[in-house]
Order: sequence, then C-alpha cells, then structure tokens
Amino acid sequence: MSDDLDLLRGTLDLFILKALTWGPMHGLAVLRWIDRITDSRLRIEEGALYPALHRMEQKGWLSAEWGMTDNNRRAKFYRLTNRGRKQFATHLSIWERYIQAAAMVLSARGAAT
Amino acid sequence: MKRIFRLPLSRDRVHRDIDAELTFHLEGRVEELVAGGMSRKNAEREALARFGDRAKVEAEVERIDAATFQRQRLRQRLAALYRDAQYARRGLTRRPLYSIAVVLTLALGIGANTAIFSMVEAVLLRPYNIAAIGRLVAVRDDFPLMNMRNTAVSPLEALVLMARRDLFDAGMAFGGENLSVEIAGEPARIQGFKTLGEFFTVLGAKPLYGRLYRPEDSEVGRARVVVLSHRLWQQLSGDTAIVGRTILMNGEPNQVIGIMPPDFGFPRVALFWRPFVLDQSYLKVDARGTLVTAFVGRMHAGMTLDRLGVELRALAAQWHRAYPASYSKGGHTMLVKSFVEWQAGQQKPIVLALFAAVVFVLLIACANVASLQLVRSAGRAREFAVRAALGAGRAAIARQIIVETMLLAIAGGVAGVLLGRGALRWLSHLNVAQFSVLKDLRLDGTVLAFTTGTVLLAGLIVGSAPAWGAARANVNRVLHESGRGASAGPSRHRFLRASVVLQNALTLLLLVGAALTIRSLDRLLQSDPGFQAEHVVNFGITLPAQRYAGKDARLAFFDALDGRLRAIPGVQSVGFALGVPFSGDGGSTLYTLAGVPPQPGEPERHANQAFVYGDYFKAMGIQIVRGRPFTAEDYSGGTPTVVVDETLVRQSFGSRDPIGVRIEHGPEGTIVGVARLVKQGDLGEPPHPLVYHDYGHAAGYIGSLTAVIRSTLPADRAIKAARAAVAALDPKLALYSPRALADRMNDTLGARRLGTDVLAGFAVLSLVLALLGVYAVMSYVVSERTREIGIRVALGAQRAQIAAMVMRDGVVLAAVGLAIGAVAFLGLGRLMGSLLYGVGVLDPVALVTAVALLGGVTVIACYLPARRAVRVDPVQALRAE
Repeated sequence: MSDDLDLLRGTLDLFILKALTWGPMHGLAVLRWIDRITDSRLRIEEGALYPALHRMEQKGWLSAEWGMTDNNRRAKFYRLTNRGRKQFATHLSIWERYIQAAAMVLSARGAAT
Repeated sequence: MKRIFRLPLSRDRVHRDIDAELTFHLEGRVEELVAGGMSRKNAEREALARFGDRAKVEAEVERIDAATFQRQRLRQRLAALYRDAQYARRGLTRRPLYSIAVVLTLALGIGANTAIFSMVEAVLLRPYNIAAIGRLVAVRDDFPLMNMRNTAVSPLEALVLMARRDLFDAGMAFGGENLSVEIAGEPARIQGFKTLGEFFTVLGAKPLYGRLYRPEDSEVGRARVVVLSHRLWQQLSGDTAIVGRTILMNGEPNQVIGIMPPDFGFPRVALFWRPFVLDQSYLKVDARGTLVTAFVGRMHAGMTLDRLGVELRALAAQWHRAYPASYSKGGHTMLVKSFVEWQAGQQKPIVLALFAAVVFVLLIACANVASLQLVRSAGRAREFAVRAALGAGRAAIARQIIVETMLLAIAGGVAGVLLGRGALRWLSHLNVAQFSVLKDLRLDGTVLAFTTGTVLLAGLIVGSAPAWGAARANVNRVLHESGRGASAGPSRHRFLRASVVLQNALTLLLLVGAALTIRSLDRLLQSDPGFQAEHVVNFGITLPAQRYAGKDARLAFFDALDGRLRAIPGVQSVGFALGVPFSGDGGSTLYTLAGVPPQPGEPERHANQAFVYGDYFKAMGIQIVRGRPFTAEDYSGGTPTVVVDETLVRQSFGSRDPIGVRIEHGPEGTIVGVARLVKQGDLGEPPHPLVYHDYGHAAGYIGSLTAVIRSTLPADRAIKAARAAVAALDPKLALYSPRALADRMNDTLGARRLGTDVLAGFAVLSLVLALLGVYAVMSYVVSERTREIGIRVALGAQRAQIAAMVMRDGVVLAAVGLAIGAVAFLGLGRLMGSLLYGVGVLDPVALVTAVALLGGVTVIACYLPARRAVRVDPVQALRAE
C-alpha cells in the first residue's frame, strides 16, 4: 500500500465530474468506477466524497435524485447538469495545462542560465 | 433507475436523506467486502476505516445542504413574488384608468408628504448642517415688568456666560450690522454680523480659504478684520487673492482674513462677519443698546437643558443682588432654548401645522384607495374564490392582493417623489421673508427614507383591508351565489362605511384649519397699521462719521436732501426717521413724566422710540390726533420736543391732557402732539407705547435715518430719482434697501401667506378626494342594490322614496364623519392657536363654512349615484339575474 498515491487537492471534484459524464451514479458507484479505472491505485478517504458531491449540487453542477439501484435498493443518484458539463470542460483544460507545466518543471535538466 | 423522490424540502428531510445516503454507502461496501470473503465484523471495520470520520462528514454535508435549502427557499419565494407581481401588473394594465387614478391619488399624498417632510427636516431636524447641533443652546433676556420680552443679551452678559467653562465648552454672541461697501463701482449697503467670542468654533465651521478670527483680532486699536461669505466674495471678485487684502467698509479699512464655504450660512442673511471690538463703553451692565441678538453656547459634556436652566437662574439671582436697578426692576430672567428650537422660531408652528395637514391628506388618500381596492376586490370575489377552489391558500390570495397594492403604492411613490421634487424646486424659488428655511430644502437621504417608509405604510394600509376580506371570504357561498351575487359581506360594508366616515372627518379638520388661517390672514390684511403705506418708498442713509462729524453737518445734509427730493416731480411729501415701521430699526427706552406719577397698576414706563425729521407724519400718513406735529422751529429750537402716541397717553395719562408735559428720561422733551397708534413690525403685534423724538436735537449722536417719500410715481421710478438726488449730494453714499413700504409690510406676512396657501391647497385636495371617495362607495352600494331597487320599483315605490333611501345612507355616514371631525377639531385646534390672528379656534364662521362646503360636496357625491338608482328599470334589473 505504501506506493498508493494520496489524492491531490482539488482533483476529487474533477474525478467525480468525469465519472458522471458516463451517466447518473450514486456515490459508491463513483468510487467503484475510480477504483476500477486506476486499478485501486489511488487512496481516497471515501467520506470526503460526500461533501464534494453536495457542494457541487449546491453550485448547480450536479442534480440529485433518489432512485432504485439494480438490486432494488434506495440510493441517491447524481447527474451532471449542463452547467456541470461546462465546468468539467473548463477545469479539465486548466488541469491539463497545469500537468504540462508541472511536467516541464519536474523534467527540466540543468540550472537556469 | 426509477425516480421515486423529489428534492428534499424540509430540514428534517435533509437530515434523514443524508443519513440514508451515507448508510447506503457503508452497507454497500460491507456487502462487497463480505462477498470478497471477509467476515462481516472485519468488513464493517474496514468499510468505516475507508470512509473516515462519519460524524464529521455528516455534519459537513448537513451544513452544505442547509445553505442549499435556504437558497432554494429564497429563490422560490422570489419567484412566487415575481409571479404575483406579473399577475398584478397584467391585472392593473387591463384597467388603465383605474390604475392611473389610484397611482395619482397616492402620488399626490406621497408627494405632498415628501415636500413638507423636507421642510420639517430643514427646520427641526437638520438646520444649518452644524455638527452636534443638539449641544447648542441660545440664551436671551426677558424683562416681563418692562414689557421687554425675549430680548437681546448685552455684550457684558455674553462675556460673563462665555467665561462659564463649567457650563459651556465654547460660547459666542452676535448682532447684525449694515455697512457700505463698493461692489462693481457702486456703493452698496450690505448685511453682516459682528461677533463676540468663539463664533465659528461654536458653529463648528471651517474657512474655505484663509483663516478665521484669533483672539487678538477683537482688541481695541488693532487693524479691523473681516471674514467674507462665499456670496459676497463672488460679488467682490471671486479671486482668492483678496485674502490678506484690505477692503473699505463704511470708508474704513478692513483686512479680509478668510472666506467661508458656500454651505455655511449662519445667520442666513449674513454676507460678512467681523469680530466685535469691545471698548470700555460696552462693558457696562446697562449697555444693552449695542444689540447682540443672543448668546449661543455649546453645552459642556453632561450638561442638559434642564440643568443649564437651573444654573442660569442662579446666575440671574446673582445679578439681581449685584445690580438691582438693572435687573430687579424689569423682573429679569434668562430664557434658555435649544438652538434648533430658537432658530425654528415662528416657522415651527407653520411647519408642524403643514405636516399634520399633509399626514391627514395621505390618510385620506389611503382610505380612498383602500375603499376603491375593496370595491374592486368585491367584483373579483369570484376570481379569488375560483383560485381558492383550485388550491390557492388564503395566504396566497391575501399576498396576491398585498402585492398588487404594493405595486400601486410603489408606482405612487415614484410619481410622488417626482411631484415632491417639483414642489421643492418651486418652494425654494420663492422669496419669503421670515421663512428663510425654503432656501435650505432638499431631497436628501433622510427625506427619501421617510418617503420610502410612507410608501410601504400606505401600501400596507391600502392592501390590508381587501386582503383580509378576500382571505376570509367563504368560497362555497361565493361560488354558489349567482351572477354579481359576489355581494359584499358585512365586514366589507363595515369597512367602506368606516372609510367614508374617516375621510369626511379628516377633510373637515383640514377645511376648518384652512378656513381659520385664511380668516386670520384676512383679518391681518384688513387691520389698520396706523399709517398709509401705499405710494410710499423708503430707504436708509448712513452718514459716515469722518465726513459728517457733528450735528450741523448732518442736519445740513438732510435739509439739502429734503429739498432735492421735494423737487422731484410727483413727490408730495418727504420725511426722515430712525424707527420707520416695518423697516427694521429703532430702539426702546424707559421714560419718566414730570408731574405725572405712575397710576396704580400702570405697567413700567417703557416705550419704543423713533427720531423724526422733516415732514415725517405727513409722508407716512400718520394722523396727529391731538396737538401738532413737529415743525422746523421744533428741530432748531432751544428745547427738544416730542410727539407721543395714543397708547402712551392711554397708559400713562388716562384722561389728563398730555400736551405740554415734559418727558424727562430717555431723551428729554416737551410733548407737543399725540399721534395715532402704528404697528411697528408686525400687523399682529400688541400695542406698545411709542415716543417720537425730534431729530434736530439728536443729530449729534445719530447719523442714520430712513428717508420716506410719498409720491404719485411708481416705486421704481421714485427710487431711481431718489438715488440720483443722493448721488448729486454725495456720490459715495449708498441707499440702504430702497423699497416700497407696502412691499415691506407684505413681506412680514410671507410665511403666513405661504402657510395659508399650502394649507388651503391641501384642504381643496382632500375635498376632491373625499368627493371621489364618497362617490365611489355610493356608486358601488347602488350597483349592489340594483336588484333590490328593481323589486321595490316593481312593487310601486316612488322615485323620490328610492332616491331618499339611497342618499340617506351616504348622508348619514357623512354626518357622522362631520361630527367626529368637529369633535376632533376641538381637541386639535388648540395646537393652531399661535397661527391665528383675530379669530378664535372655535370661530363659528370657519366651522360653518367648512361644514357647509363638505356637506354640500357629500350631497352631490351621494346624489349622482342616487339619480342612477332612480332610473333603474325593474324589468332589466330582475332579468339580469
């Protein structure tokens, strides 16, 4: 477990938005999706998911509804709103530029002239 | 996925939902782990460990959701309000005439309130923009036994008060002075003030340019200094270079040390301020002649008006003991007032009366609109009942009505502020002497806040009655009744009746008030001032002491001027005096009569005094009722002579002949004639003895006289000719305030006239509103009773009976209103006492006029609907059902 990565700040929101681009999900399903994609390499404190979900709901990025799961249990499903979709696009491009810049810094050779 | 629930809508639901959501998560994980082979116990521990602090997460999510919930609720409410407003707007624009009538009615009420409130603010709440104005007090003297009421303090008294640092943080006194200054090449006489003590400090004023006084500026023998008002500075040059320069005032050099900002204007007429230079002659207890208007002090912290009064009584007692001749004889006391109260002076009762009137007008407007709305909502009872049947709550329907009236009130408020602004602009362009506050009116934050409050209150008052009625309406009954059967319930009728009564009562109050002030003004205008003001102009002349030293030089000048003025074609007579009525000068003195001891009960022998030269009595048209007027021989003769007025004779002589008796105190002289009583400065003033001294014997110490010219010329031509005559004698002399005497008298009525006009305007407005209000209600009542009337007609009722039946209703209500209004006036009218002249509060003419006017209008308002009732066709009326 020691080589599992702690989640960087702010990325959880992005992950949730990405997960929900596939369709409405409940909180546990979002986590399962992240686990599956990352092969469980990210260590997420699962409780942190819910404040993030509710905050994005408040901002109007997500809408929430109670519904039934496949095995007939009551669960709260979140779905991306149009606003959320736009937010995701914006944040994603910021994130990509950030990663590029970070990679340039971290892979730099030689001191500045 | 099937949807089964909507968003949480209550706090409790929020809590349960979060719990369910988190539980679902944890249980899901546990099942997953158990399915992967873990024991249930371990699985539960593992799931919780992965989750973290459940309680903390729950609390955080709950906080987020609570905020979300709040926002949603607010948004829903705003949306509902918006829908209501849209609905109301559509409803109102469908009946544009009705809406315009209502908005206009409210706008008149609100606009009038805005304008009058700004007057209240300028007079009573925010005069002069002086910081912490509540700490300022004014002190004046009162000598009741000498009939010198509410009079100026002496410079010495002012200095004693200033030295009392235990009472005042700072103190000052001031008095007016008129000086000649050359403006644009022409000599002009301008009004300024001489000040004692820390004048500007007390008022918290700072100069725009330059500096204010220093203590040494008022020392004897130093160069005189002057502070200019912004207005005078603009007239002189408008150039800051004037600061430090010397200008000539009355021919003497004065160094300009500072210029005040444009918004500093105390006293309002001041064009300049100079420190009082106190030589020893002023520092006597009796040196009251050099008038200081009042002492004004900034009270020490912790001092109250009451405690100050106690301290000043103690001080006055000290003076009584030390100087019994100066203080005890007159029964001296000091009058303390807050500065605001003192300045408000005679403007206060007028402003308060207008404010009361305008509040009544607004109440009438509100009652009026409320009954209109109620009548309208009666017509809409079916609409509301349908909405209620479709599930709208009573609260929702009441809210709908309140929103609608609020919309009307806000529209009325906006229009009212515009009207109010127009009214203020009009008022501030009026030049009303003694009502200087008009120049200070403005529509500031306080006034707008007041207006906003008024609008909201008006909206609530107007909306609450119909809203209450609609919310209480019985849905079943309304829907089951046929056609127009949405008949008003008893509560609605009760409200309409009360509204008619209220409008009539308030209108009567306004009408009686207006009638009383109109009659007072009338009495004043008809009162005899004792002289004939028509065809007379007058102006002041001050001979500078350097060029006209001594008696002979002055008499020579006035003789020469007299000759030149007489020579003007059209001039009938010319005279001079110090102490011309309504011209703001003259003094007063104690007198004694040789050989005529005071009669028992005779008041202190104190008289106003005037100094007279030339044909003064003829020029003024003052009748000599006994003896003779002054002659040229009197002016140049060996012994001084005096003319007294009939008040003095009545007071001191009784039936004895005054001619030949010597006045020994005040300037002495032998009485040669008795003149008619003249009003000195106010048509409403009580009579006070007056002594005319002959100027021939007083020219040695008096260098200022007012010239009085009676002619057939128009005032402006007479003044022009007089100006040329003066310039021919001495081009450096200025005419001070040349005007027609009748205009001066008229000025003193300005505030009263304005108050009367505005009050009468409000009364007419309320009369119109009352007419419309009664008419609307009666029309409604008739329309509601159409069926009943039809039946009566069908059964053989005579038209006159029908008309009487309809009218009786309205007339009875109006009569009740009149009665209530009359009784209320008995209580409230007393507050008007100080505004009245020559009529009592219970003046029968005013009361009868008002009752007749309002009664007549009400009968007309009831007659029109009654006429319609008479024409009801029974067949039509019954078929309509």
